[in-house]
Parts: sequence; structure tokens; C-alpha cells
Amino acid sequence: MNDARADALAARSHLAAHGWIPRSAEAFRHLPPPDAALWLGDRDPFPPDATPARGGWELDSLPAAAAATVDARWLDATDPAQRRELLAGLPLAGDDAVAPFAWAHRALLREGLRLRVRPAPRGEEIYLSVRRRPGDIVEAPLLVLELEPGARCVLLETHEADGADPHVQNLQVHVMAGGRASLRHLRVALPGVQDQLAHHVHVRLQEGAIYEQALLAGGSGYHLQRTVLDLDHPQALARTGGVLLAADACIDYQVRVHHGARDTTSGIDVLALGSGSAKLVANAHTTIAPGSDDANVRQRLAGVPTGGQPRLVLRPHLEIHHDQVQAAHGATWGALPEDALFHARQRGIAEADAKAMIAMGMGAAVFARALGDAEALESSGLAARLAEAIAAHLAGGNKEHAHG
Amino acid sequence: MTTTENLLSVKNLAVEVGEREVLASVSLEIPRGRLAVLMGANGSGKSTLGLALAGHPRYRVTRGKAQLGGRDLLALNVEERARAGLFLSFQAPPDIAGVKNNLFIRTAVNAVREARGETPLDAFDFLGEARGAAGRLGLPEAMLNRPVNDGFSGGERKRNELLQLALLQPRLAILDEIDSGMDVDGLRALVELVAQLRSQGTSFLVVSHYLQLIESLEPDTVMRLDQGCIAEQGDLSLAREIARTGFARVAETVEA
Repeated sequence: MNDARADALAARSHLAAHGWIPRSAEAFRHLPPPDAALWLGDRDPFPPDATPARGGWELDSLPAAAAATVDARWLDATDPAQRRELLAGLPLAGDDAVAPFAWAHRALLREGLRLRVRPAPRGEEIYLSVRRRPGDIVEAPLLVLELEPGARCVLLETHEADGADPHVQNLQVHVMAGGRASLRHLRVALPGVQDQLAHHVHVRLQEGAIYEQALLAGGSGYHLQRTVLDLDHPQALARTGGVLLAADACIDYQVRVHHGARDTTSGIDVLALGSGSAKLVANAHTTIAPGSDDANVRQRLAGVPTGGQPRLVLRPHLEIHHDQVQAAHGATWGALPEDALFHARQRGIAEADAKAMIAMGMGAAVFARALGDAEALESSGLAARLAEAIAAHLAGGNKEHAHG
Repeated sequence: MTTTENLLSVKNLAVEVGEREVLASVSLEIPRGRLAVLMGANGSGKSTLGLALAGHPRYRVTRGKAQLGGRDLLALNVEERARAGLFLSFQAPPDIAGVKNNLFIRTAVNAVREARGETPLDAFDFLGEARGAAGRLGLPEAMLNRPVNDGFSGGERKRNELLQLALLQPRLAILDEIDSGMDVDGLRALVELVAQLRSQGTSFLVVSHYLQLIESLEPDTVMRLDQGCIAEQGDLSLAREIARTGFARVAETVEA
């Protein structure tokens, strides 16, 4: 048996021995995930006649100058040496509430993309665009991004149903940013209504590093978006902005931040638009460890029902173990602002267009706060995607992407 | 404009807000190109009249009629009233987070143009017009690119209302305390804009407490609203009398 297969089987055994996420787990209380069998599939991930996975990661070609600063490696996790390279430096699954997802991922992992970005000669921002084409019906892809100290990068990461068959995806993304490096991570996850997705983004920041995430997510049969941010070095900064859209489907959005050093800053911003019988849960959980002098924390969660009787659960949570910090959190739940809607209609804008414009504005504001400015939104096309997604959500039916 | 054809005709209008009747029976007429000033004590219902005519859902018309250019205003929804040519400037214009001012105004202008059978303006043409109008109103051009009223001062919000007025070119503009918060340059720009639009046929109903502005606007009519009705109507001398004696004194005189 090769090392890769042994590693996968060990993960599977660990999962079998320790069990799946209990229904009582606090983080998943409102939307318990489907059990392990779904994420493992019912097949051997390393059959003797294994063929390369269909689909996979696609990286848009880079201008020559940018290409010189980026190493991209597509690695086959069924090959022992490549598996070691793919997983090098990544933390083990651990034993926390979400660990079963990580074990299931390790058990099914077959391929991944590993990117390493060096600082550009003139310090400019490197723009990368990766797209995930669903491969197997049940898959566990991996994306690793390492930023060398001082590197500056924008990463657009796209996952869309695109007419593909329904699939199950347990994705792990690891971001490791060296000192003073920065990443603007623009994520689009618009699955088909029957898809079952669990995306886990782990971010570790060195001193003075910056991580900014804007996520546009649509509902599906099960859709978990979980980001864990470790700010264990001074002056690290992380901000996330999530716009969640679901009609008759679900999204569980979880962001956990750990402040473990002085002068660290974090912000979590969420706009959840739900309609029909949608279930949307937004969990923001920030911990400030002892000794985190002048940590600055903000959480801002908003839920807007746009029709029907959706269930929107907003859970801001702060755990503060140090005195000298600034922290603010809030959650608001309600209709689109009536005064703004009337103002727009009084200027001649049709009610449906006014609603779309206002909702789009709220979403753009969430992203702008996460990214510090709106330029990356425009240049990456994320603003246009946001507008399309919100228009589709508010249009009659409010249905998620149907599979072709 | 010299025509006396009524653009706005309101007859016995009664309006409730919640369970409270704010307007009992308001009747007024404003001919095309004319300017009427509406005065009244705080809480007399001046803003209610504007919001009810504009179709705000919280302001329920229980009796009466209102016509704009012969069309039954009350049968139209909010945006149809706007497209028919009714513009209301807000006392406290709201923020619209994340929506750029130029996108908001261009969408509005094109919705109105479409209703008039005119071709929509493309972004380039619109921006040229908007920059010109903003310059005349003293609104920094950068504010076109910022979210609507986001971080604007009180005066800037009012100038932004004027910008929308200038670009939408309505048939009837109801200006509800447009002067509050504006500096002297803003007031001058307001007077010039009103004169220009009036010369093109726009009618105005201006709510204001300040005689200096009222005099500058050269109104055709001044009305006083009291206890839900137009209690008195006259020319500029009525505004001067109110400024001199106050609303309570004027009301006593009328009753006597």
C-alpha cells in the first residue's frame, strides 16, 4: 500500500472511530450538516483503475510579468510524493467541532492546486483567477495559497454550477501570508440547488499581513461557508464581507477569528437575503486572547427577508479575555430601508428596480467595507456578478441555479 | 409663463397618518409655471401634503381629489406620479448605502425620459450633464461618484436634491424646506435654478419658513396651512405679515 493510500485510509478510520459532528454541536446547531457518508462517497478514492479526476482547478493565464512571480502546481494526491508536497505545512485536522470535515477531506483528497506568490518587482498587486470545475460527483479538492513576505495579491476564486450535474464538494482552502503580505480574496460560490457544499477557508497571517475576503454565496441543498482567521502575530488585519442569497435553500456562513497578538484588527460583515423557505445562518465568532493589546474587532450582521417566510439566524459572538481592546458588534433584521425605497421610487424608478438597486448597494457596501475600497470589486467583475445574483434572487421565483 | 391652466389641482384632500387625521380638507391650485409658497406652523401638515401627493404609503388619502395636468394623481403609484412629472425634495434626504449617486440619478433620469418617450442617456452623456449641473449648484463633482448622500452634510444633501431636480426637470416640484442647512451660495443657486425651471414651465410648491428666500423666489401665491386646511391665501404680503407677527397672531386676526 502506498503512503498516499495509507494516509487516506487512516483519515477514514479516524473519522469512523471518532464519529461525525454531533447534532448538538454549537456551531452547527441551526443547520446540522449531512453525515459523513455523503462527504466520503461510497467508493474507494484510490481504485486500481483510477482515472484522473474530471474538472479540476483552472487558473487563468497571467501576463508575463505576473507569471514570473507565481508558482502554480497541480498535484495528484494519489501519488505519495505529490501528496506530501500538496499537504506540506498545512495543519492537521485537530479535534475541534469541525474536524470531521477535515478528516473526510483527507480521506477523499485526490488532487489540489498549490500557488506560491512572490512580491512583484515594483510592489504591484498580482491578480489571479482560479475557477473550480466540478470533478467527481463527490470530491474533496484542495487549494493552497502561500504569499511570501511583502507579496500583494488579488485572488478571484469561482465555484459555479454552470449546468453541471449535482455534486458534493468538501473543499479546503489554506492561505498562509508572510509578513506584510496582503491578499484580497474574492470568492464566488453559486452552486446548483441540489448541490451539497462545504467550503473551509483557513487563514494564517504573519506580522503586518492583511487578508480581505469578499464572498458571494448562493443557496443549495446544503451549503457551508466557513472561514477561520488566525491573527497570532502583531498588526495582522483580516476583514470578511459575505453576501448570502438563498431562496428555498440553505447557507450556513461561519467566520471564526482568533486574536492572539497586539494591534490586530478584524471585521466581519454579512448581508443575508432570504426568501421562500430559505434557511440562512450567519455565525460570527471572535475570540480575543489575553495579551492582545489594542485588538480592534467589529462584527456587523444584517438579514433581509425578501419574500415568503425565510428563516434568518444572525449570531454575533464576542469572547473577550483582555481589557485593552475595542470591540463592537451588532445584528439587524428587517426589510429593505423604507425611506430609501420611497426616495428611489419618487424619482421614477420602478419598485422592483429600486429594490434591486438598494439590495445591490447594501451588498456592495458590505464588500467595500471588507476590501477597503470598491475598485477591486469593479475590476474583478465581482460587482457585476453581485448585481446579476441579486437581480436573479429578487426576480420572480427567486430560485437558485437549476442544473441543466 | 403666462398661461393660467392649472397643472396641480387639489380638492378637499384629507390625509391620515396612522390613526390621526393630519389634513382635513386641503384645496389648492397651481397653474403651469407658477410658484406657490406654503407656510404653516410646525406640525400643521405641510410635509404631509407633499408626501401624500407623492404617494408615500404611510400617508393615506381618505377623501378628496388631486390632479396633475388633468391626470388623477391618486390613481397612480409612487413611481408613476414621479414619471408624470411630480418631484418631491425631501426634508431629510436618506442615505442609500453602496449605490453611487451618478448611477442612482441616471437610472431615475432614464426612467423618467422613457416615460416621456425620450431616448435614455448613456453614461457618457449623462455624466456630462450631471457634472455641469453639479458645478452650477456648487456640489463637488466627487460626490457624483459616492454613494447617495453617504457622509454628505445637511447642505450637501440639499444640493444633491437640487441636482436631481435640475436633471429630472419635472412639471411640478414640491420643495419641502429645501433651504434648511444650505449656505448662502446654496440658496443663491436654488433661486437661480427655480427661476430657470420656472421659465421653462415647471410649477413649484415651496414649503419654507424664511421670508428672505420666499421673497427671492417671487411667488405668485402664498398660502397658510392651519388645522388641516388652507386657512388663508394671498400674495407676498401674507408671507411678510406671518414673518412679522407669527402664525398664532395671524390665525387670531383671521378668526376675528
